[in-house]
Amino acid sequence: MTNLGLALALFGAAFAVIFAGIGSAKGVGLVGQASAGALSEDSSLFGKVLILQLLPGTQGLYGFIIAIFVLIRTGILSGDVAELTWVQGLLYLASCLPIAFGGLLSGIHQGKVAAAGVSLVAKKPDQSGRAITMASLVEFYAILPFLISFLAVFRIG
Amino acid sequence: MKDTDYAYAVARIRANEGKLLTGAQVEALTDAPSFERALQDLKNLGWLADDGEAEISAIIGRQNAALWDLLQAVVPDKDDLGALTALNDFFNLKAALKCMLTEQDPTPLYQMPTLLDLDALTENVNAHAFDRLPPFLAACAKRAFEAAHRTESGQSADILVDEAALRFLADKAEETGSDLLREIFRFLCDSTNIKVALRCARTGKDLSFTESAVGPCFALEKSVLCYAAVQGEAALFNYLSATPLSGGAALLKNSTSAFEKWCDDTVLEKAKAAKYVFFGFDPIAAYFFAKTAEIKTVRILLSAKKAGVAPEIIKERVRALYV
Repeated sequence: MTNLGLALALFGAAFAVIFAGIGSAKGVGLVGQASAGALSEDSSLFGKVLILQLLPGTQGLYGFIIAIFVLIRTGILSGDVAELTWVQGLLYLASCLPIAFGGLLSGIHQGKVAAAGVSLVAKKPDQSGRAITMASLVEFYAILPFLISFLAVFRIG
Repeated sequence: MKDTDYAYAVARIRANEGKLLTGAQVEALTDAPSFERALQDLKNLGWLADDGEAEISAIIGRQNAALWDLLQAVVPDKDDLGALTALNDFFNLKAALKCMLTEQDPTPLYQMPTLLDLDALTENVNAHAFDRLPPFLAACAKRAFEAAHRTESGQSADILVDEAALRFLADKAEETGSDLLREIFRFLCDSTNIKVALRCARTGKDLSFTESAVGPCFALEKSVLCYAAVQGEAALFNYLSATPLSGGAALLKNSTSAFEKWCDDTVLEKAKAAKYVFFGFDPIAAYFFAKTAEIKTVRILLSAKKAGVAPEIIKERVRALYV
């Protein structure tokens, strides 16, 4: 049963990285397309659209951080692998789910808001502050699941 | 195609929307003391080529070509543009058929933009190879050619092509997943049908002719429209006054150009809904209508300036703006 616990914990780490990563990849990719469109008309917008493109990338980073913590807590990184019961493994898996799914959805939606923001900046470059603010608001819903995952991973005995 | 596949296109289009003429710029052009001054102002706004070409048709042609180049460069699927150019495509078919019958070169008559290969259109129509035309034109071209031969008149061919164009647009209105395009195409069908019905009323056509000339209707009742047209102009306007297009009909009573302006302005008003859409084809279609209206405004403005028309009269003719 020890291996099952570890396997479940690793599944959790994998979920955190994969799903949050997919959210970020979709979001950043979408904003990248919009940015290319804006820059092909006005290359001076690069600095402004770069910030918008970076924003949906954070979800992947949050998923990565949670996965690293799971690897540290289970001793995989240090090579001193902890013995986990299946319940403990399941707890790690459950702890990873908030950032996995929160990251997936918030990454996609933040990408849409940021891509719309790029279109706004392309038409009215002086509105970049507002575009960034609107896209940043979605970040809140990536930070919340990240915090929950973070706290939960640390509280598992 | 997903709406998000248009992210690149929409961002480029938004950047170009920022370059559309503003109300203040159009007013300054209208108030310009001379044609030369208006040209100079347009040059400052980037409308004139470096070679200083001042022919109105050349200026307008270049703007149309630039618009079309941009749209073709940005859309992920060129078929999307087909509906926007459909009326030009059918017009070009009419020109090719007419010139084939009168043994003339149709090239100067062709309207742009179009997705058709115009050389191939001329060649295939001249060779009566209608099945080699794009599928949406082939059947109608064949029928129009046969009708022209049978009646020895271009009028019946024109009616067939015009009606097919409206039917095509009506089909597109139903097929499109876009509410905006559906509304615009439906409006274009209805407004064109009003013009067709009025022409029938003024030339005293009978019911069967009128019914064959009028295309699918949406806000109008086709049978009532045709019947009213046969009764005469007064009956037609009486019917139209009770329809959602009564505003335009009231203008049409006195002036065709006022009605044309009303149609263009209504399309642009509907297109403005796309200002709040950031994905999909709607913002691209809206830009097409906006830029087309802008080009039309500049053409009217320059022609009027050249003819020495007073600014007050020009202001009545210029189209509404998108920005």
